Amino acid sequence: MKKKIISCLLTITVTASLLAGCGGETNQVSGDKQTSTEDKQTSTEDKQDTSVGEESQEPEPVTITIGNWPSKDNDTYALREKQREAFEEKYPYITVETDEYGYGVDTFLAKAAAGQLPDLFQTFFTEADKIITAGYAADITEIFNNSIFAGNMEQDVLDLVTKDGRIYGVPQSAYSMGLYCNVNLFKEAGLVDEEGVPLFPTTWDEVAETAVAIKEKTGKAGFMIPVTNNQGGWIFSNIFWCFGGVYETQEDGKWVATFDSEEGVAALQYLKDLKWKYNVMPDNVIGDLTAWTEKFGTDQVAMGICHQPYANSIISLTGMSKDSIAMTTIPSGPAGQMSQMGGDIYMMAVGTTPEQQDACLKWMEFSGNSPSMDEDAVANYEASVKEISDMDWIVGAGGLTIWGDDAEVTIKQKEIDAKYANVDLRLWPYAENPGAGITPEPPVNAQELYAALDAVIQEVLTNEDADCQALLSEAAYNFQRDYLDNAN
Amino acid sequence: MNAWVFLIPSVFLLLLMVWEPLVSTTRMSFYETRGFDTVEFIGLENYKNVVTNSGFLKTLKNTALYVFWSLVIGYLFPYVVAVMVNEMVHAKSAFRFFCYFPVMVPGMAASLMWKFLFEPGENGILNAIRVFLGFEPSQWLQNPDLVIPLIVITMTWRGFGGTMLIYLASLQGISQELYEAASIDGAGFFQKIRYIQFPEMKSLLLLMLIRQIIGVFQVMQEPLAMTAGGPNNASMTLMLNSYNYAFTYFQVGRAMAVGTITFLILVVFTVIYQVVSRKVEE
Repeated sequence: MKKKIISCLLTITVTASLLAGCGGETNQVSGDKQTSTEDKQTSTEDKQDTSVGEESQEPEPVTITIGNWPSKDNDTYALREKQREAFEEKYPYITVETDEYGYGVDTFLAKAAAGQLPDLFQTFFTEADKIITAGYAADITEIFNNSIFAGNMEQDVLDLVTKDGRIYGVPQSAYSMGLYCNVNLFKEAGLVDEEGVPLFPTTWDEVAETAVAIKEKTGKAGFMIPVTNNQGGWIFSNIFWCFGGVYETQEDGKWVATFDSEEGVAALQYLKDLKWKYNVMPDNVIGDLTAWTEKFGTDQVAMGICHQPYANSIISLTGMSKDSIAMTTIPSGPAGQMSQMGGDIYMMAVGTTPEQQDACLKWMEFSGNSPSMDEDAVANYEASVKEISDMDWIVGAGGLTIWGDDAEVTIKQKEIDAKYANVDLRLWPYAENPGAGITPEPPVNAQELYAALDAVIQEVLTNEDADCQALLSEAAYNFQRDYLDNAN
Repeated sequence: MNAWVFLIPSVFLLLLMVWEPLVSTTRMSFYETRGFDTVEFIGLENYKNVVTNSGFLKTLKNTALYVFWSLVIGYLFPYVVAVMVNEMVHAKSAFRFFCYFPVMVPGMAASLMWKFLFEPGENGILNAIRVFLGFEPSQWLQNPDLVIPLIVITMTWRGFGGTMLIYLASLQGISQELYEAASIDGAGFFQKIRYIQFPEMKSLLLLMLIRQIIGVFQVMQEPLAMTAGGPNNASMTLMLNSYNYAFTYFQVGRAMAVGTITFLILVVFTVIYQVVSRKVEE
């Protein structure tokens, strides 16, 4: 009997603890949610109060978490920590916590759903729409409109983070794409002038000729394009537009897939020819941008299309010397010169209070990512540029600005860049005209479109008998049926 | 009464850890989602959308092909190895360890290693051997007809050790007296397998068959790491498709719909298994 009682008690204890564990968790979550809602309400009230007498009141302490923080073994860690200390000194009521989390397609959704995103996180232009649609970016319209950022940004850039008139992020930087050239391979193939500067191809036909020359003289691949993870379509767009292709058009208010046009087929045929007619692509064509980077950075591939800020990633990932990297604007095709536009965006996690959002904007301003360039921002921007230059990464290779060429911030940043510039500008014709032919992403279902193009490009690069017209027609038909018809 | 009380913790765990996620994913598949939040009940809209997508049938067929090739290449292999190890006199445990070793290699690392071996062109490791033997270099994973069997080979390489150990344990559980009796009656090696081993192993072989079908039907990591579903979706699978819906496009409802469809197909397999297994036991 005693045994029975003990076993019953044990069972009840185990069950109760399980129940308590689960129940506790549920309470905790709902409790948190409640608290955060309360926080929001309180802070909105606070904001109304402070707006009356902002200067007179001492702000409440606030803590923010900033993502993309370098890890301790990263060269820029010390610099960023120093910036953080200076920031906290300037704004004693703000405490900055750091998080190494950087945006990743495979990690973002889980992080966001679990409420684990840093208060301030970075992402790319291409991702903004789906993050906003999924409800994982805080609506910062009011705080944005009352900040120094408002009215200072190019409208088309601001549109990327705007949905139904509400603002969900702050563009940080913009870029265009260009043609990367491996100086070592150009030299080895003798494709340089008397000063050792690569003879840059300026048209897509010249790209093919250059690639052939490189393949003949060095045995290395002349050109490569990533073809997985939607990067194939993303990068191919540059060629596609230069050949005169149009992905989607609106007819009578309805979206129609038009990428199986004669021009689109010509662009795809060009890519196919690079593989099968000119034989200038590597044997392994199924890879993403990392695969291209590995090959380019180790002198296995001479050319490729990518965005300008990626140059320093190539150096960081492969140890390539900055003096071996050259970049020119996108070559011209029959329809001219068109280059994909992209960039980085700051967003704030859902659940951040207006005070936290305000603190995040202050951080961006302080670190030199705003239209204002006060002393602190200048000092911080200069310190980061100096750090990059000290690491022997590329400084002074130009690029796009989101604040306009005449903005004070652009002029100041250019001055600082020029002071620490370490690139031979003869290797960077891109810097002369980074905005050449800049083109925004396709407006509807861009990522799904890239996925469809990935498959088509993979087919033409792995199958010598592939029919470009048939493949594109099928892809356009399916894209219309699967996506555009739903969008109409 | 006491016995029922003892069931409570396990029933509770089962409900919480197994059924709750299952039910909530199925529930989500009927909703329009924003991230992981449900917005509005939309009935079978997600299913309609997923099934009518131009790539769905190809993906389903591919997934079935993975199962087919895994049965052709990988089903009997661990059994044969287990029989061999069981018959070994020397170095049995060393051999057992070497067979099990690939299981300990992290999946991603194994996939990347195989991807490296399958490098097309003359400089790839396997192609260098082919060229040395006088063959043309193969396109390996870039050949849409080869990509699934090749991925299945890498899965078999990584997974057979675990299955082999299960077979081996079962083989060692067969009473030696049966073999001795058979030897006295004049049975040879194959006859022993046919009349003693096979009847003893029958239900385990059936169990492993269904486990393999269920396991391979959910293949995702290998194609994700080796081909990202390419070339031209030739190695795309249902689970990779579901992964893409969720993580590339943030369409959780559709991802869950693909997951639920996969689950239902596997339920059918499991029911077949139950029926067949009962017949075998009878």
